[in-house]
Amino acid sequence: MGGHLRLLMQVAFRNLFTSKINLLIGGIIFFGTLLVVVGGALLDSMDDAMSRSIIGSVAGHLQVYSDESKDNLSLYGDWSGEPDLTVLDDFSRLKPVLEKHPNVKTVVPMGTSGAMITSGNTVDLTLARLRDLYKQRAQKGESPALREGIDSVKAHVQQMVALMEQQKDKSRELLSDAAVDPQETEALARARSDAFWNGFEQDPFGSLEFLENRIAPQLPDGDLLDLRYVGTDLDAFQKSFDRMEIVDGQRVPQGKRGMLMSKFFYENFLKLKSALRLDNIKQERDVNHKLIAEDPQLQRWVKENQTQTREILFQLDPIKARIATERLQKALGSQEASLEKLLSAFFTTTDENFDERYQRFYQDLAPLLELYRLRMGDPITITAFTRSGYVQSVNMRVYGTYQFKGLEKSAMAGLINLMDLMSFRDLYGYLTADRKAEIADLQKGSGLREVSRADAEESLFGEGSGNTLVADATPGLIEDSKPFEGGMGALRREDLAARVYSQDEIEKGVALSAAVILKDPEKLQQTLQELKQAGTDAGMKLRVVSWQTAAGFMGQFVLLAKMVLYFAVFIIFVVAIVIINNAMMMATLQRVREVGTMRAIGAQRSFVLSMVLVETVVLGLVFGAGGALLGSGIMAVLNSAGIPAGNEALYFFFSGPRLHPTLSAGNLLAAFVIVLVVSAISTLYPAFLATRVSPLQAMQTDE
Amino acid sequence: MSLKTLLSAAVLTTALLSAPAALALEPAAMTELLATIDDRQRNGGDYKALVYLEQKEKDKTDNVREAFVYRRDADDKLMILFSKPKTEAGKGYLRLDKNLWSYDPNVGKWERRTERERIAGTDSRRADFDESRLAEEFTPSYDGEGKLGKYTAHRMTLKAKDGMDVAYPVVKLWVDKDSSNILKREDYALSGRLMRTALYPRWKKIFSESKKADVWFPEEIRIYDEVEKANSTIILIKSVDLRPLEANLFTKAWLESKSR
Amino acid sequence: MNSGVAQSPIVSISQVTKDYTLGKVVVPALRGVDLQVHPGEFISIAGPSGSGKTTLLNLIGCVDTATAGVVRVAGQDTKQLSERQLTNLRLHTIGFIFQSFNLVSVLSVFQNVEFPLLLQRKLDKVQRRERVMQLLEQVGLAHHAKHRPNELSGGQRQRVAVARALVTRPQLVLADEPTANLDSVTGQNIIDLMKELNQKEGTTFIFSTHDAKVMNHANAVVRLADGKILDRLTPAEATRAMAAGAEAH
Repeated sequence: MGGHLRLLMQVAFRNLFTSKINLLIGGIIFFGTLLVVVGGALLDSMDDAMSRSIIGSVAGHLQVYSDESKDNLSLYGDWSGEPDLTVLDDFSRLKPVLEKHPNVKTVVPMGTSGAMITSGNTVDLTLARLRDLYKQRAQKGESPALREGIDSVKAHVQQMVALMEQQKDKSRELLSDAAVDPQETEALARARSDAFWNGFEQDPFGSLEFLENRIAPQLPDGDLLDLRYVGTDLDAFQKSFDRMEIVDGQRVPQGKRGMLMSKFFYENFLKLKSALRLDNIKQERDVNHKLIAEDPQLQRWVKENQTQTREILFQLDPIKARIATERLQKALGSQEASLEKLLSAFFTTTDENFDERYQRFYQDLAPLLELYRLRMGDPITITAFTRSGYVQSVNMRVYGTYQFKGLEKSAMAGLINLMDLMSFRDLYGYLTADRKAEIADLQKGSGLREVSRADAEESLFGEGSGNTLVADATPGLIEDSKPFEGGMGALRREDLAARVYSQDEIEKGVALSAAVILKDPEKLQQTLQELKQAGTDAGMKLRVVSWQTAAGFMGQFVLLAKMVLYFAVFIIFVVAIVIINNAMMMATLQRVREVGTMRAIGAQRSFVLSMVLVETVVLGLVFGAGGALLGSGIMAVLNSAGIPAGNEALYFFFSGPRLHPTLSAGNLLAAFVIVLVVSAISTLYPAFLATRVSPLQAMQTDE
Repeated sequence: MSLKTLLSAAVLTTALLSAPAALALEPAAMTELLATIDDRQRNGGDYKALVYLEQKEKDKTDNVREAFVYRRDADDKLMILFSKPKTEAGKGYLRLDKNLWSYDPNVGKWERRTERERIAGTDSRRADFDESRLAEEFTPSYDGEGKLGKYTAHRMTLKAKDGMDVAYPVVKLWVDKDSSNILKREDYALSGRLMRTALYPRWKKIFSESKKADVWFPEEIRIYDEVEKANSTIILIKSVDLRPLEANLFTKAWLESKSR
Repeated sequence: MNSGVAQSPIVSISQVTKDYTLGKVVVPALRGVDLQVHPGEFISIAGPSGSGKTTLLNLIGCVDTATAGVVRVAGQDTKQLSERQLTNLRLHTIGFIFQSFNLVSVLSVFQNVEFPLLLQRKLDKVQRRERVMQLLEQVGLAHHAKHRPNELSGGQRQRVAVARALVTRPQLVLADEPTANLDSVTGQNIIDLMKELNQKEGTTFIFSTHDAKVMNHANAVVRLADGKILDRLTPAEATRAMAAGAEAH
């Protein structure tokens, strides 16, 4: 018995290195195993890194939300915008239900939503600042500091008007006189006149309205920014999500309203465009090794920097403009007096001078400029369409910027800004019972009849409508002062910004979902089911989903990447099966005499079958082990050295600048199983053929 | 002003006399008809209205508001100041020259808006509240007569004049042949896509001391969104008050003061 | 050894025909052959190429089946046996020596000889070793046990093949032109070896050859021509008859 197998093994081992075809098959198995080991380990490591990034940023291990929601939760947003979720009325009731579970570490309330933020054009913004200063003066009287501020901003406005007139002259040259609105020209002329500025102080608000309504509209509109945000208990969030780190500024003080802006968003949408373009060019050159001379995208950026200098010009008041002119003249060795031309020349960057210009920009120009439209500590106004259809605006202070480690460059994660839950609730605009009643009253008071859209024309104008088109109105007096008595306005605004909310206030109220961090993530599925049950037991209809589901597209992206790679491996092995199959057929044909001899001598068909199979399995094991060994070696090297993320896409997959992949026993086992199965499958047919070899074949002579 | 009024009256008379006779309106006659519509709604002095605004949207509870609309037609000024519900009180819009400003007392900020601004997020536009300027803004062409329920209407297509900033560049009007009131209005995008349909079932007139004539207003406007088919807006003018308004009412400072 | 007629024959063939089909043409290889071989005989089958020698040996060796007629080997009608039983019959009753030696190239001399024993699964390791070494001793290759076939000369290889054929102590050994690929001296040695084993062990040998010198060693020569048995002669008669046949040509 033992001898039998030993013989088979001996034949197999001996054949291993004598047959060239076997070497070919062995090679395929060797590289196949290498691929499965290295590829599998890399994939698992990436999956692991991405999972940790997503779990550690906003998703947590589980997300809990109302089962009455129409859409599914999608933390990173979806193509179709924000999902329609039913609110969790009171987070403070949900929290203890979830926390009771032994595997739950923390529960963090959340809500995602989006809003547009608008910024007027540069002149609008500057005028708004001036208006604020005059309002302060009207309230508190003038102080030397206030006077200085007013004068400085006024000088800045004058500078802007001068720039606008220059540009107007230029466009008159380019186009024609007819294209220029005479009213605009007239307004500009007035704003340039000394008479206007001399008379400014007599009627500052009147003068401001003139500038706001006649001058500012002559500039194109400011941009609209789409702002996605997650409203949450910021303290609990920071404690629970280890991937989050503050980059600029500070965290929002405990219990206060405020926002932490995503670093990615801050850089890409709020930075001075010229500076952003310089940063982008630098990144492409340094990281992706592109050249201005070759890459059209880089050339476009350079071109935009040359032509779009207005953003910088408008920022500089007369003093700073002079300094900037001097510095640029020195840097460029030029006598040019026009700052616009100097800037254009300065931004004419090539691969040779780029690094020097970049450094000089940040050293010479940046200190004169506001590099960002928003400074840490500045308030931001967010206007959102609430769920009830009313528009709601909230002012909040931006305390700092933050990022999620490993997702720094991910646009999807980078668009998430964090705000306190109280502000979120204001913007979300959940209708309380009181407000519902108020609305119903108003609606009843209107006396309007319901008209269905389909037959609106017939019921309003038709013969049977009884409509009287023209009638006399009853003259009435409209009392319009009452509704505004006791308005809150400015006082309330200040109060909100200063107020510190207790943990109770934060938790008692609406949330859209709750992130759950587990003690033992291995038991995720089980805990998921148990929490669902716990919800039902407590009379709450809850939907509990894993982080992968909650991350929506981002979660599926991980899965997708995995599937693509597994599919590639699958294809490679299908090809391998075909090649091995063919090679084995050849090998069998070569050995027809040998097999025939064995059959003649008295070997049964089953013996021949096992001989071929054992041979392939031995082949698979030997070369597979070789491949696995080499693969393990490679992984060990990669693990200690790390693979650098050469470009931004990889940065996302690696969840950081370097991936240190690890090899698990599972990877090796998977490789072995796959290799054995593949070699066995690919040998079945050749082995069957071998059993059909007749002993007669042994009798044939080859000479 | 009085000359203008006189002229309009003459135009009105001509229009009324000639309308039944002519099957197709001459361009001049059409412009006159528009001028009539504009002029009837204009007041020589100030104008104040209490307006109810109701917005219906798919899968959402109706949202309703009350607002005061102030107009000083002589200076082309308009203010919409919301009063109800409480959360909306103090929000407003202010039109000065060609600028449309929006204000929210919760944040104390003014923002520049365009002609396409959906007033308070509804399907209404600034022009629905403002003085009618059809003759000034559009060039009409005649599409023939048509029935609309029990009314016979002139059908016209209006195209925005060059350089006019209007919310919709093409407008189709159904104007009641008997009373010269707008019955129906369709607003089109430049592409020819129908964006909104508005129905005006009831017109009211009120005598103005300053104008020495009636001022007309549509008591009810039903606006149907043709893009988001489920959305619609109703503007209901509950009452109109033509007494003079405070001189400095159309300023940012005045609106701000309402919520201080 | 004496061939007792009373003993039942190890091979008994009666009225056997064998046709090959080559495309549409049916080629008769054997046309009604009767042959009886008794235990201990040392029989040579002679005849020109294409006379049916190999076909006859294949039928006897149970690697091929007759078109008609009965082939009995060790008392069993081969037609009645399954493929499995035929294989077993070959394994336990018959030894094969091939014209081209047909050793398994990747196995050593020892392993090649041991191969049929492993298939038989009758003996344990020690017994196998003893038997194999005894056989290698007999064919004079005990010192080459660990060599690979390609390290041996042709004659040595055929002696390994002889050892392999005999290691199971078969009743019958078949050899198809065992000397065809060897020079005359070496061929002579192989025949001597076979003869020696025939006499010592009493193993029945049937071999085909067209070499008169080889035929001389047989007890009897069965002459085949055109698929029929001409006669069964003594070697001397056969040599004479063949010489006459050659003259006649």
